[in-house]
Order: sequence, then structure tokens, then C-alpha cells
Amino acid sequence: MSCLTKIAGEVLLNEALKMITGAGASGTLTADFLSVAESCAPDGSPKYAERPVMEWLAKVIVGLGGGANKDTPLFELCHLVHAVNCFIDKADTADERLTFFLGVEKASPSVYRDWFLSENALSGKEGEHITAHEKGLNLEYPDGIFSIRYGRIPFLAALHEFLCSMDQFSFYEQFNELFDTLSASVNQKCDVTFRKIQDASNSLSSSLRRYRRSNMPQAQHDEKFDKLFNFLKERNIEVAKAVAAKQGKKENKMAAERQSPQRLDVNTVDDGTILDFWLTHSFLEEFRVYRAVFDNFVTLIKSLETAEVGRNIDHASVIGTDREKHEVDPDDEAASFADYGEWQSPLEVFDEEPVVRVKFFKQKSERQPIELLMKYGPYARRLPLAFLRLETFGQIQAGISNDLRVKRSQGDLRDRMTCRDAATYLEIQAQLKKIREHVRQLQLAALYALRKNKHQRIQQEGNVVSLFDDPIQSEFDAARGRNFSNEIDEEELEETIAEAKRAFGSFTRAGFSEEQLEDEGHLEAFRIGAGALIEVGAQLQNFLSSISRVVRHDSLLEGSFKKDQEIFSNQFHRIYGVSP
Amino acid sequence: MKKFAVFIATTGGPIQIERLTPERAPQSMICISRSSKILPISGEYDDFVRRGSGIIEREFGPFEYESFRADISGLVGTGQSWQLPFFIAHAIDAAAGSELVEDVDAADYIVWATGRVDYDLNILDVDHIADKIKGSHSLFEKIASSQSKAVITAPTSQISLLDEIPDFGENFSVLPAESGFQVCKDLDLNLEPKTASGSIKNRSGKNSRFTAAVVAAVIVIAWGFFYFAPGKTDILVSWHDRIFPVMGLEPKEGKSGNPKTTDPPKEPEAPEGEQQVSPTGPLPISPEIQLTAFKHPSGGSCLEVNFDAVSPVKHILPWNSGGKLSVDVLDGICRFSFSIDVGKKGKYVAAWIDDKSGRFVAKTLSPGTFKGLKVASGRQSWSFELRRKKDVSSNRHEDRLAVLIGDQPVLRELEWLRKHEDWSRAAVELAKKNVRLLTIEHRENP
Amino acid sequence: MIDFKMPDDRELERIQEEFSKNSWVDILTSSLEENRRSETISLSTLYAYLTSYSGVDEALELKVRSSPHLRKLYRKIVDQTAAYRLPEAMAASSGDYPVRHGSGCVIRMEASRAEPDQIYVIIEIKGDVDLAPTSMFVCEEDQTCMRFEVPEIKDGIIQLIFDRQSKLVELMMNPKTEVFLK
Repeated sequence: MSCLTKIAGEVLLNEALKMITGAGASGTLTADFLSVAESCAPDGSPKYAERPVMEWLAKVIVGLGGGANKDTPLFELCHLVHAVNCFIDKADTADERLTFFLGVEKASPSVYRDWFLSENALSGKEGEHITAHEKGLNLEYPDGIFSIRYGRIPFLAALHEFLCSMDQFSFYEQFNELFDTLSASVNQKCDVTFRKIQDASNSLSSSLRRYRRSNMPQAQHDEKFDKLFNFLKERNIEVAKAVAAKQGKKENKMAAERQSPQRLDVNTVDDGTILDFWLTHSFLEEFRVYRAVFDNFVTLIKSLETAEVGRNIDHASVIGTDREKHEVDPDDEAASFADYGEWQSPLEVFDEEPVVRVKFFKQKSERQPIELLMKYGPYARRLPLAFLRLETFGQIQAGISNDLRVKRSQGDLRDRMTCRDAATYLEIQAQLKKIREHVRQLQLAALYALRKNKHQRIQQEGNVVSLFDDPIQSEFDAARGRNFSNEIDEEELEETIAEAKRAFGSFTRAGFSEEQLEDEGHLEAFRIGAGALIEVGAQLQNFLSSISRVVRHDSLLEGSFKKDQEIFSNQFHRIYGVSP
Repeated sequence: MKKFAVFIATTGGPIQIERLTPERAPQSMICISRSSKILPISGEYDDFVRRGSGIIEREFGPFEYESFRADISGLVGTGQSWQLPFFIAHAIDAAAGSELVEDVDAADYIVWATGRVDYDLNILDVDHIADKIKGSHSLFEKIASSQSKAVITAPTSQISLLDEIPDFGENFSVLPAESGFQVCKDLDLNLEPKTASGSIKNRSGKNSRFTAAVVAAVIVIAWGFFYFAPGKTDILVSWHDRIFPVMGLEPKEGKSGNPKTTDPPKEPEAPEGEQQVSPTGPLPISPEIQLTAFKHPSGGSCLEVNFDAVSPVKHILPWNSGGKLSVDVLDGICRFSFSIDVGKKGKYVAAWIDDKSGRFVAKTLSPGTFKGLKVASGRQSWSFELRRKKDVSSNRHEDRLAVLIGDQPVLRELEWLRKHEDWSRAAVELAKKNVRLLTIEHRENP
Repeated sequence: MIDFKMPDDRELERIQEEFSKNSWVDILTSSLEENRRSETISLSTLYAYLTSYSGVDEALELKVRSSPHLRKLYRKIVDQTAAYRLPEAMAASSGDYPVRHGSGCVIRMEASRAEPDQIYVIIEIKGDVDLAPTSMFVCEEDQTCMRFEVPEIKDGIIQLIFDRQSKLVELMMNPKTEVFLK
């Protein structure tokens, strides 16, 4: 058997095994998770949106979601169950509750809002301890209050289904009995307290922890972690050695410094780290694919950052004005512990109602090229070259895997491994610049849509308000829920508004007609979309800037590509056992 | 015993009706060759068999069992061209001296049929006859080489399409199907009631005739008098099986079996609940109502009368004193015509047959006058067929005719009446609204 | 480029834990992207199947029968959503078939005269035929249920015919089984 066939056969088998076993993932966990994902509406579309609902559920299952307290979603769910129980108010509460959670075909906020508002009207719940209004539910307990937005319920419904389905439905009866206790009493007086909800939540949490212990062995990932972390440690030691050698320090002094517990060494993960790791570890199955390596490093960075924030919280200085006591000013820009590491692609917004009504992006030419960039967000920005390698050579490698799967000829394989068809960094940069300009045009069009409506409302309402009251920036900030005003030149503003009108008129795609701007739902699409567009634009700009910082000239960028092309080509040949 | 094999012509080839079995189940079904696979057209077949919606039980029943199970040799798709072959199969099954067989080789006659059958037994057009013929070539060839005789039948209006069938010799005959009666007659089926396959046991059949089995009945026309006997329902017509007595009349049978009108009798005691007579004595009947019987001429048949093949002989039922009508025996009567003169001013009239036996056929319901929504003025008439078979089964259904007359639209009252069985009581209620109720119904001779 | 401080042992443990969790999230979300199929049935899927008029799904029924938890759940949902419930029948005397009575509904059986090895199952609905059932579930004592589609109701009657050896007849002959119609 030739070397190619043998190695290729191994690769193919390993890929298949990976597909079947999930690279060692617990079968039960994956099966339970996928079973919820496979719930379908009658039209075949998923009942629970992949993004963000299922992604959120994945985090909650493993104990990452919920912010500071990973049990918060369970707590929310218990409140929701209590609200549903009270609204149903029938002898067969458990059955009707099942209908609420399982009978809904598509888990969307509007469906749940309609359910609560109609039940509210029917059961005359106004004035009682639970009220349903346009945005969500308010629950008043003797010892506390709680609110649930309708937008949150699809997440909680998915969580409910997962909990009831866990481990072949073995928790189903237990949880239903628990949920039954969260009903209003027979005399309609609410005897469910905040404390009772917390206790129920703790009970769920305890079961979920047991489930995790059985189905999510940490040891499964320890080996991977060790490899990554040790690589970083050793690399940094070598870098430190090299720096020290340049500075002429003695080795023994350096050793002394390394062992000091007071040392505040800073370690680095950069573009070169990721490439080097891949080059030295791609003989291992779990690190064969460059994308997998990139993902693992992103995961590691997230974990490090979480620990870093945790440390900052632990060692946080007291906020105050007494400098002698080391008190510091509060930092308004500091992200909360709950938010840190929770980057989400702004593109997800464009898939949901009402934004989906407006065709902001064409799939192939405008969205697909930035999909990965938006997915990795700040991590792509901080590792620009590593990301560029992912964008171009990651695709080549995916093509190679596919070629092996479908058993293409050796000639085709060799051809692909030359990386001749890889998109160059300059090409990617140019494409991103083009899309950045497109995003800018979209932002202007959104501005026009929002201003037009505001102006019309003013006219209709008869208020005399200057058109130039609010600067443009604050329009977007208002759309995003932030309000601050900037000074802006009136002439410039007028010019921008005219540009905005032209921009709106230049789009002939769905959602960009004057008539549609009369519809409030359509305007809401622009309001929400506007916020997401700003984020998309910011990411694009930041990434392009970061490339420029790393590689100051286009010719250097081209040179960098050619170097990487050779490296990757050689490595592919090595990995897949194909001689060049 | 004449043996028939019957085939349904389909574009997928001929499908044999292998067997008809009466069943205790409430619904008739079609299964494939003794299996438990039920065809989707079973629902339609059940309607086709069932009394009230269909014609099989009406024409060949009543049956001892509730339904039929038909076993056929293959799939029959949507459409209704299976109706004629099934009608023929049931006729064969019901007829004396004939038998439906499964073994084609043992059959004396092989019937290949296609056509729809309506409620009046007219045979109506169907589609794809040419394709059906094409699909049946091998059957035709098989028949041609056997001893059996083939009868190919299709709606008369489409008979020319059967020219596509090659000439297989003198054993093949083409039968244009105009009506169910005609087909049965042309197939020489003796449709006397027989003791077989769930049909009723043989009855003393002196007066049992297919076309006018109701003999020696009494027709009493009772009159709902609003002015003289308010709130009463009087029976206009009733007939008894084999009994001649008319209210106050005793029949005298002549050679023809027709009783003659006798002298006016003494006032009889009204059977309880049947007829109310004013305590002041017999009441004159207004000439508004006229009941005409249409008989077939000697040598003819009701079939010919009802299909306008011959002109009927009209007998206006004579008046009697005392507010009653006496009539000749009903033998030979094919159809009634009921007419009413509501005067120049006009009235609202609604007429309805409470058709439980499925045997009344309203020949004309025009003008729309009789729905009770429009004013009718002058003389309006309406005719209906008399049922041709006497129903003496234990669960016989009694047909009734109701006529409502009022000065306001009576449609709502008609709808109300449909839901009320007791017409005597109904008349009381209707009278309160100034609506007169006239009825014709069958009464059992006490 | 990302800089981070070298963690101590306690922090390292926490980082390792976070890394593991994030890795699990990656595994789960990538399973979505790979369009992998679950081996089990979701609650929503089961609920939708049992409350819809989609016909019998043999593959799903087989999966259910192989799991005691799923069987129990299946029966619970059927019981909860049924329009008609017919509990255990009166034990049949020799030669007769059990007759089942429920509120507004009766189920009886008759042998075919044409084919004695075939049995008519006759469902009579006495109540509001706006609730005309389209599916019948027959459940045994061990919570195993089987679903059968029934034809359209006609004049308050639904009629089926089965072989005597069929599973349905076997189940219906056992007076201990329960029947649900929906």
C-alpha cells in the first residue's frame, strides 16, 4: 500500500471516528443536546433558533451561561414555570404546562407574548401578583419581585426541554413534580415565595451538576489544555532567554527571577504562537486542522481572561477618593464580570425578526466573507495574521479533508496542497474594505429611514422641532439604547443627510422602499439593524487597522502571504503524506 | 342458475367483483380479494348501498344485515364509474335464478361495465372509456376463446366508444345502458325477492309486485282546518298494506282487484290519534286540494311512466263527504300529483317529503314556490313517485309528506318541523303561528 | 497579541475548568454545524407527533418502544391529550369480543361473515363529532402503546377491519388494555 493511501486512509477513518464519537465527547450529552436542537416546527425549520438560543443553551449546560451566577437561568426558569402555572389555573396544570412548553411550534417571543396576554385577558389576572404586559411579565412575591422579558422565554423553553430530556428523560418525573409545587394554592392566594423559587432552582442545579459530572468529564480536555499551556510556558521561557541574552543578563539571575513568587511575568499569545504550535503539533489528531488549533487558542484565551477578571475582582481596589488608602476612581468603561468573554457575532441579529425583513446583506458576496470575522470578533482583531491564515489556508485544508472523504485523485490533492488557489491577504483585505464601504452605505440608509420617520411623526404630531436637534451619531446610539449628544457641524449634517437619502435610494433590494417605512415593524428592523451595523462596521475597521499595525505596507502583506503559502503547503504535504 | 362474472372497467385493467357478502358491520366496505385491505372508495360505496343516500338497499332491499362487504380483485381509483358494475353485481345477487361467481371460467356471462348511476337510476357518462378498453384486451381475448358470453355495457350516450372493441365474434354483445331498470331487464334478471344472501325471507307475495306493490291501501286525506278544527293535523292520505278500507268505505274486489267506490258510510270512529273530526259532524272539504294518481296504461309499467316513455293515465281521486277522500286501490299507481289552489291573493307554501325509506322521488319541486319563501298564487302542483316496494321489515321507515301553508314565509317553520317527529303536536304549534299543516303518511292498519 | 499573567496553581485550576467548559461548548455547537443527528427523540418532537395528524411513524414508534422512559412519557402525553378514553373492558365471555365504553364513545368488534379470520373494529362516537378522532392508541399494562390511524368518521361511526392475528386485534382482545382516541 502506498504511503499516500495508507496515511489518507488513516485520516479518513479518524475524521469519520471524530464524526461518530465527537472526538471523545460524551455521547449522552451530545445526544441530549442535539435532540433539543432537532425539534422542528411543522415547516421543518428548527423550533429553537441555532443562534442564539442553542448556543446559549450549550453554555448553560456546561455551566458557563448566566453571568456571575451560572444558575441564574435555572432561577429564571422556575419563575417562568410559576407564572405559567398561575396563568393556567386549572386542575390539570401539569398537562397544560406541558402544552405551553412543548405545544408551541416555533419558540419565538411573540408566540409567548400572545399566550400570556390572551391568558391574562381570560383569567383576569390583572391586579394579582403576576401581570403580563407588552414587554414581559412582572412577578411580585411576598419577599421579592422578578421580571421576565418575552424575548427570554425561547431560551428558557429550550432549557426546560433539555432538563426534562436529560439522560433519556430520567429526570422528567422528578422535575415535573418539582414544577407542580410552584403553583398558586387552591384559594388563589399566592403562597409561592421568592425563597421557594430559589429552593426549586437549587434543586434543579443540583441535578444538573450530577448530570455534568457523569457526562462532562473534565479530564477529557485536560490533556489538550496541558499541551497548549505548556507550549506557551516553554515558548515564553525561550523568548525571555533570548531577550535576556540580548540584554546580556546572566542565566542564574534570570533563573532566580523566574522562581520568585512575586514575579509578574507577562506571557503572550500572538500570531506566531498559533502557527508554531500547529506546525509542531499537527501530527496529533486533535491538532491536525489549523482551524481547530486557532479555536483551541481562542478558548484558552477566553479562559485566561475569565481568570484575569476574576483575579481583578478578587484584588479590586476600593473605589473612593482617598488615594492614600489606594482608593481609585470608578471606571465606567469596565465590562462586568458577567459580560466578559461573551462576544456574540452581530450578524445573528440580521437573521431574526424584524430585522430579517430587510435584506441588509447578500449572502455570498457580502455576508459570507465576514462571517468568520464577526464570529471571532475581538480575537480576530488581536490575532490578525493568525486569522488571515485561518480565512485562507483554513479553507484550503477543509477542501483537502473533503477531497479525502470523496476520494479525489492524487493529482487533485497535490494541486490543492500547493495552495495556489488560496485567496491572498491583499485580496481578503480588499474585500473587507469593500464590505466596510457597503456597511457604511447601509448605516447611512438606516439613518435616512429613522430620520424620515421621526420627521414625519413630528409633522403629524404638530410639534415644531428643529430637524437638526439630534446629531446623527445619537440616532444610532438611541437605536442601541445609549444616548449621548455630540456637537456636530450643521452644514456637515445636512450633507450627511443628503448622502443618507442617496444611500437609501441606491438600494433596490428587499426592505428599502419608501412605502415600507410607513410600517412600524419595518422601522423597528432598521432601528435594531442600525445598532448591529455599527458593531459590524467597528469590527471591520478595527480588524483592518490591526492588519495595518502588524504589516505596515501592502507589499509586506503580500510578502507575508507568500511566506505563509509555502509554510502551509509544506505542512499539508507533511500531514497528508503527499510529496510535492 | 345463471352464473355471472362482473368486471369493473378501469384504465389499469379490468377488476372483478368477486363476491358480495352481507355483514353485521354498520358500514359497507370494499376489500381486495378477501384481504383486510380496504379501498379508499369504501365510503362512497357505503353511500351507494345505504338507504337514503344510495340506491342498492332501496332497489334490492331491505336486507337482513346492515351492510355489504365487496371483495374485488384489485385497486379501483377515484371516480364513480364503478357504480354501474356494482349495481349490476347487486342486481345479480338479488335476482332469483342468477349468481355472482368468482371463477370466471365457470361463468355463463361475463359483464364488463362502466358508468355512473344516479339516484333515479339513470346511467351517466364516464371518462377514459378508450383507455379502459385498451386495458381489458387480454380479458376480452380470454373470453373470446371460452364458452362464456360477454356483455359490454356503458352509458348509451357513449356507446359509440365501444366500437373500439375488436370484433370478437357473436359471443360478444354490446349493451347500451340507459337506466338501471333497463340494464336489469336486458340482462334478464328476475328481480323477484328471493331467499338468499341476506335479503328478506320470501313473503306471501300475492300482491307483491316490483312496480306497484302497495295494493289495496286506503288513502285518507285528512285536512288540517285552521278555522274549524284549529291546531289539528289531519292525515290527507294514508295507505295500508293489503287493506282496502277507506275511512267509511269497504272495498269490494273486482276481477282486476280494484275496489269500487261504495256508498258513503256511516261516520266511523276515528282511530285514536289519527284523525280528528269536528264534533259538529263531517266537514266539507275545500276544493283547494287535489290529489291525482298517475297509473300506467294496461300492458305498460311504472318504469315507462316515470321515464316518460308512455303517457300515464290520470285518476283524480274522488271526494267523499265527511271531509275525506276515497280512492281506488293503488295498484298500478306510479306517481301522485298533489296540487293546491291558494287563490289569487297567494300564500306561502312549503312542501317536504320526510324521506326515511329512500323511496319517494320528488319528480318536480319546481316552482321554487314550495320552499316557503315566495308567494304562490293560483293552483300550484307537485308530483312525487310512490314507492314501488312494500316495506314490511321490522325496522321499516315511514315516509311522509308535509305541506305548510301560511300568509308569511314558512321556511323557518319548515326547518322547525324537520326536527319534530310528532306532526300532530307540531300542527298545534304551527297553528299558533297561523300556519296550516297538511300531511300524507303511511299508517299501519290497526 | 494577547498578554496574560502567569497564573498560580489555584488560578490554573480555574482556568483549566473554564477551558474544559468552553471546549464542551465548542463540541456542542460544532455538532449543530455538522448537522449531526441525535439518536434519541426530543420531547417536542414526541409531543408534536402525538398531537398531530401525521400518520404512524414506525421509526419513532420503534425508538419509543425500546426506551422505558419514552414509553412512559408517550403514554402520559396520549392520556393527557386524548379526546376519548376507554379504560379496561368488561371481560368478554367465551366467544364474544370485549366491548369498551368511554364517555361519548363505544368500541365493539364483530367477526366478518365473509372472512371469519377478519374482525371489524367499530367505533361509535356518540358525542360531538367535531372531535372526530383520526388516531387510536392502544396501551398495555406495561405502558407500551401502539398507534393506529383510523379512517374518516361517517354518521358517527368509524369502521376498520383487521386480521384476527393482527397486533391490534390481539391488543383489543385483552380487556386490560386501554384505548385512547384523538
